[in-house]
Amino acid sequence: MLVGITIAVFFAAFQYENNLSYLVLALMVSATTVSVVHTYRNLADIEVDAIPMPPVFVEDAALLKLDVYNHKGIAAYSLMFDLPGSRVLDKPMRLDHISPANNHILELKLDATHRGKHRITSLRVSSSFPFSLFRASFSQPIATEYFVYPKPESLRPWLESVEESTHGHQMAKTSGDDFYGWKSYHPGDSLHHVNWKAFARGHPLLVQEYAGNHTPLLWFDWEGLNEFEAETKLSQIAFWVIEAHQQGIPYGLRLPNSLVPPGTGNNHFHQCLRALALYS
Amino acid sequence: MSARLGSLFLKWIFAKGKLQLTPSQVRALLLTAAFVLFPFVFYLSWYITPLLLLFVAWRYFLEVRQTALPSFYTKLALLIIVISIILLDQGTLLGRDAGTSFLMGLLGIKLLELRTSRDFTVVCLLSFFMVAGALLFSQSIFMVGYLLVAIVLIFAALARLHSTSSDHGECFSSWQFSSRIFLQSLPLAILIFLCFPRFQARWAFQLRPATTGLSDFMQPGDIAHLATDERVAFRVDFPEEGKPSGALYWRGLVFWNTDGREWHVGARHLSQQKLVPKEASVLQKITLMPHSQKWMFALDYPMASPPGTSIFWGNVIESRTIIFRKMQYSVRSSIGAHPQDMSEDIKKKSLQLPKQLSPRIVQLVTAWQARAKSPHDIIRSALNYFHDGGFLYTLNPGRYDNLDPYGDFLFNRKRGFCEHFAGSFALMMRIAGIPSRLVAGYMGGEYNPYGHFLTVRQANAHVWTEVWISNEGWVRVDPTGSLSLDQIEQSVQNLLNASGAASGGEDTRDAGASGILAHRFVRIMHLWRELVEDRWDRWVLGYDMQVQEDFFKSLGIGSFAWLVIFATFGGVLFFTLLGVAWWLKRRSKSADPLEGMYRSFCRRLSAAGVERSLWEGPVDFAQRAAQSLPSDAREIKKIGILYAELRYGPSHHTHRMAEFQSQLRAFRPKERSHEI
Repeated sequence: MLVGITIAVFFAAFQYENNLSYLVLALMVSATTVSVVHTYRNLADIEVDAIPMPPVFVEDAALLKLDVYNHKGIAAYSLMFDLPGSRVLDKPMRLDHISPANNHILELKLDATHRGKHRITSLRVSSSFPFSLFRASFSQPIATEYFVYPKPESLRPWLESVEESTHGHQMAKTSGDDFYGWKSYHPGDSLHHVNWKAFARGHPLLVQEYAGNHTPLLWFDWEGLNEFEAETKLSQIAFWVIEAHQQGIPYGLRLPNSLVPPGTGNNHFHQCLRALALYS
Repeated sequence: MSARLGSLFLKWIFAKGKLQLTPSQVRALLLTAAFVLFPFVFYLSWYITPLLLLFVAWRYFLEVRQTALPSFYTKLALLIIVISIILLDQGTLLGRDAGTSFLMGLLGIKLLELRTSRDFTVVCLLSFFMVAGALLFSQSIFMVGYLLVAIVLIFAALARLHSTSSDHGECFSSWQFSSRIFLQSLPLAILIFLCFPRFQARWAFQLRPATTGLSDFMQPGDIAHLATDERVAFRVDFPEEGKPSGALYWRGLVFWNTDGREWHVGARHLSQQKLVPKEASVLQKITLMPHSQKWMFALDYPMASPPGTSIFWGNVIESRTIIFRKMQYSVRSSIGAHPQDMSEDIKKKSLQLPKQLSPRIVQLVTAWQARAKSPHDIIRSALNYFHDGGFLYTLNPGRYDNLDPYGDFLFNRKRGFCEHFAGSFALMMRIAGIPSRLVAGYMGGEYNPYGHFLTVRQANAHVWTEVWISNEGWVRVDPTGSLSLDQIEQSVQNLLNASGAASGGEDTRDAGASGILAHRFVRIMHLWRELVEDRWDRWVLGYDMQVQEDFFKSLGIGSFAWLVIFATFGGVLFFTLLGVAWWLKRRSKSADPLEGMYRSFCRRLSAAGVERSLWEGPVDFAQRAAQSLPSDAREIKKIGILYAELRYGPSHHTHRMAEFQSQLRAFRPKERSHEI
């Protein structure tokens, strides 16, 4: 279209030997050229950092937070962000304006329909400012990844189907000093069981954990759900993991190709869900 | 800065956007389109105004009401209506008037379906074309000023696509921004304008201006009509020296034939006569306004014809083609020469008399002839007759007897303009057997002391006579001159009375004493306006193939066709690269002023022979530099520590910035390091 109009103006100028139309033509060509420089300059000194993403469950909104810096002394306008490869839901993501030497947090809503570990390696930043005739773009490497956990679904209550402390880890209910492992300190834990020596060396507070402290121990077993399809099994186990985590009951996972020993706490919780997300 | 800009890609994306427009964007575009199309109201048929109003107001109304846009069939119906109106009116869709009307209709219909950013860009580019179209109608400075504003508005509209949230003040001012782009693109635009090769379009469309000025026949009263016409006939530069002194007779055409009332050009034969320059010869560079005729003007007497022209009988220059657009030519004239071209044919032509001669005139002339000893005596008798016979030189000679206008003039009314005097004089000379002819052209002109050029207007139109005197040649006799000789010279300066320049009679008004200052001011303004118009005509409108070639020759560039093309694209490339280079420079220069100052410190040290390694921290480097340059040790250390504090220290140290700055400014290494 621009080329067409340019040619049309040229013919008007040429056919009517109209010098001022030549001037308009010259202005068009020149302004287009100048606008390209502005397009480049608008993108110059723009830097994007990805803020680490929290994991999400399938069908939740995965939000990629980008910290967009404008290092130059003038404002940048109308920047578009796109992730090649991974699907951005609200496309095109656009930032209207960043003041000079400033930054702006931008949220990109990513697709989370499939469980697993998703990796983002680069981000495409582009702009067609000022005249929407050309688009300049550059690709910013960002190394970030996020987990999409299986969607929790409850098909049956776990207490019925899951045997407590079966399969190998027999619990001596009477023995109070069957040392099981270390866990991080939570308010309410007995101070007698704190590993003070390690704390003195600068480690965090650790509490001795004993298998026989009368709390039930849960094993979520893949084999126990054989009547379901794999994805349904994962959803069910994810639901149980959340339940157990909320109730503070130690739990472990037994999957066909991985095993997560029983435990409690946030890290354990996410470790279990990651194992579920990565199941293949 | 961990990640740098990777490679930058540029992609042609026109009309890819499908973003919905905001109401403010639509309003801005409607305003822009209305502004661009407004001038056409004055040049196109009457129905353009209501059509334009209809489309813009309709779309505006839809935007305000947020109603659905017209359907496809509505638009189709509108298109058919527009086309049929234009066809009915103009009979075609092509050509300047019909073509622009049609484009306006298309643009209006496009406004009605304005929905996405794509439509928006299309309308903007079409508007750009309309700007070029408007220039086909008027090329005045005012029009161009208006259209330049329109161009800035179009830029602003285009940039507005990027400010969806333009309602808060934080966002950029598209108007300010587009003005900046406009100014930045001016130098390159001028370069392209100058370099872009001009061609002589052989099949160029001709826009015929109305015939102005003199015509190829003349009857009493014709020139008097021109006396109030202030339009410019031509402008003259005198490249070699200033304006020649004496009366300036601009020769245009010669009338040979008369029927007693009208005078006609009659004979059109190429002249073989070569003029021998007698006195001074004057080179003139003339910018002639289009008059839809062939004749061209030059001082008495042109010595050679410019390219593309020929000299005809009576030493007049004619273009081979009709002059439809401004043209420039140089011509050299011999002042005060007496052309010697005479042959039997010419003699017959210049003695031709109307079939019916007024007996009164014959009687008068015969009486003079009886007393005369030479042709000079007859001429003198005739001039005396005008001088003493109670004749009046006036702009309003009134109506004359159709059968015998010259007899009526000579014996009854005695009120006339130059054509009455000249016409009757030539007639009387022919009766007396003296070959004579009537010359039409212009006399005088207004000299512009600021631009050193002369403006000749239609009001300067003049007719005089030439008589053949054996042994002398053709001699100019201006019967009007016998009335009041001094008037002509004075009228050149008397620009407030431009019409008086031609007539030089009783029309001269004298300004009251109080009005003199105001008159002087008006006069100066007037001269400056003339100057601007002249430069405009010459450099902008008249910048054609010839001028372009001359311009490049004056720069020392001879053969230039290819060179121009290279220069154009080289210029485009150069400026683009310049812009990108400038941008890269900006990019490498951090926004942090502290960093920049430290860098200049390091540069000074490196000039003194101490290079900072990449891994070296500011304090370590300062220590090392201080050892290498003992005489500057104190300052170097201080700057290094200050920089470290400012850079890495707590924020309350920032007040030491000024101290750092002044230290840095004063720092000049006194010696060079002897280390290698």
